[in-house]
Amino acid sequence: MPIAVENVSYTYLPGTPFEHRALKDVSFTIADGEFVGIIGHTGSGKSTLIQIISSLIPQTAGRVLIDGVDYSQKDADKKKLRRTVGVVFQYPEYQLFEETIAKDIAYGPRMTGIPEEELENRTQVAMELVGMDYETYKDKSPFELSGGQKRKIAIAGVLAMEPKILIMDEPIAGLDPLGRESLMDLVKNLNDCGMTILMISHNMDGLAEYASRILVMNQGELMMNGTPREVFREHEALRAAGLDLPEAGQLVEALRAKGIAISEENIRFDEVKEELIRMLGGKAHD
Amino acid sequence: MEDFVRTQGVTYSYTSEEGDVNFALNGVDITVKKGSFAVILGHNGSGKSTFAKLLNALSLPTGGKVWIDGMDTADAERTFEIRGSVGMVFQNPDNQLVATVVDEDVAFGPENLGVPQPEIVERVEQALTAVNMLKYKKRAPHMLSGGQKQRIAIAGALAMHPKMIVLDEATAMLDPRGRKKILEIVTRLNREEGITIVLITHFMEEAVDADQVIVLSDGQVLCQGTPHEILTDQAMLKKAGLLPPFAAQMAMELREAGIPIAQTCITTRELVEEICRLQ
Repeated sequence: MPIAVENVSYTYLPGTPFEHRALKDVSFTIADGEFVGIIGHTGSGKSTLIQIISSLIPQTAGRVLIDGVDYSQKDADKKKLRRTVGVVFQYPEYQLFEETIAKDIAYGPRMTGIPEEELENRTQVAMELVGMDYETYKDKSPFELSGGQKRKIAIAGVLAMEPKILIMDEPIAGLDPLGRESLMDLVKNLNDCGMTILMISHNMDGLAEYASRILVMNQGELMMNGTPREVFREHEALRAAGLDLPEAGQLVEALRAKGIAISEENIRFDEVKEELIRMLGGKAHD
Repeated sequence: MEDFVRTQGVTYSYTSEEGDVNFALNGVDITVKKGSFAVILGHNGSGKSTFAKLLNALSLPTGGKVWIDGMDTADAERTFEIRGSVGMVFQNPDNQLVATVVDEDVAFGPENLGVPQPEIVERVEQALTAVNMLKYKKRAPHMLSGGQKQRIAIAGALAMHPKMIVLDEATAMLDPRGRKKILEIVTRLNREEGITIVLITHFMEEAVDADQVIVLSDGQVLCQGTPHEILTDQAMLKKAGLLPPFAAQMAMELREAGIPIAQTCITTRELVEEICRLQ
């Protein structure tokens, strides 16, 4: 299920005083099984881009192909798209509504006509994937859970559709540090199972750690498209686009400014740590 | 220095549908000095937001006492005065912006206090200047970014001329730049205007410059101290469901590898100094 975004543009409120070109001629492709991060300043066009990829709004120009199919065409099988591409919006827990957790998770697949006997199985698998025990939680109200748990249930609802591609808009916003870590691990696991991940995030450290590729959006344009290492060594360009380096990168930059020869290639916590241990003569771990 | 906030044995309990009594807060004793900057850290569900609402009598404790500037929040005759002296800024700015034009939104609070019109105009200008948003005063709030909206919400609180501002995860929905900006503004209001600040957050790095850090866990104060004491106490943070900030974590792991880095590093700047010293 590769994704091809070809020369996509989008204009909000065309012909009004508020006309705004949110996307300008954006092109890229995503192969199966990739973990792609999308970063960009507020208003850079990130959210518009994922809404177009998931066919929630039609592009003004260009096209998006998912597995070769242009779902913006009138006769396209939108149901198939909804089964293929799962979207987790910001604060997805606000969408929980059912009496029990199991019912909430099963809602999507039930609406697409999945038979009852398969629903239970799908719900169980989805809960296992997000690390919530089926027997313990299935009959509880989703509103009794903590913020981080609610979010996992909302994500399980999307996973129960068995999507091949998972699109997420800042999934860790509002979570505490352990909640953030556990959610990033969850997404990493889904990716390891073969799911293609497309994630908008401000969490540069998480993306430096897990993403295979990063798209940098700036004022509606795709400014960079490369591996985390390629992207995060462009300090000046990122700053100009209103973005920060990962914490590890910031430390490396500050050390280099003091004349310490640490490689700019280090963008992850463990890489910086190992190099500092070598430089300062400690005992490196294997 | 005088205490601006004092709580004694504060509990907040509610009864679930099944009749179980749950304690969101259970025996919280905290003091915050007048003019100081306090940060409250805690995991999701630790009771932070429940606590915030007690600070301007939005809720009253079910047990114990809360005094604000010497006034008991349970004393109904002081409610108005307490609300006038404690401004609140919540997580989602969309939930607290009320008007369709920025300056009208900022004027909403003082108008309700009955402040005369010419003074309102002056207060609005001052408040918008303080958050660096004066040039947006005739804009519609819904056309602004999240960080800009949050600055308008702070201006709205400032126009009330509060003695304290409580920010309840006010930066959680913002991008890193928006977050930094809010923190700069709040720090300046504290240092230059002497406004007492209570900042509730789970971004550890927002606590590094505080006068006092309080860690809440499961409705109780697990620990309180200086940023250096709190943010380097890995065992305690772990117990609270939190993680040290980047620099503290790095310093700790380097120490574990036998490098004699001072345990007190909590910022990248301090860590860089330490590494330079060892070079």
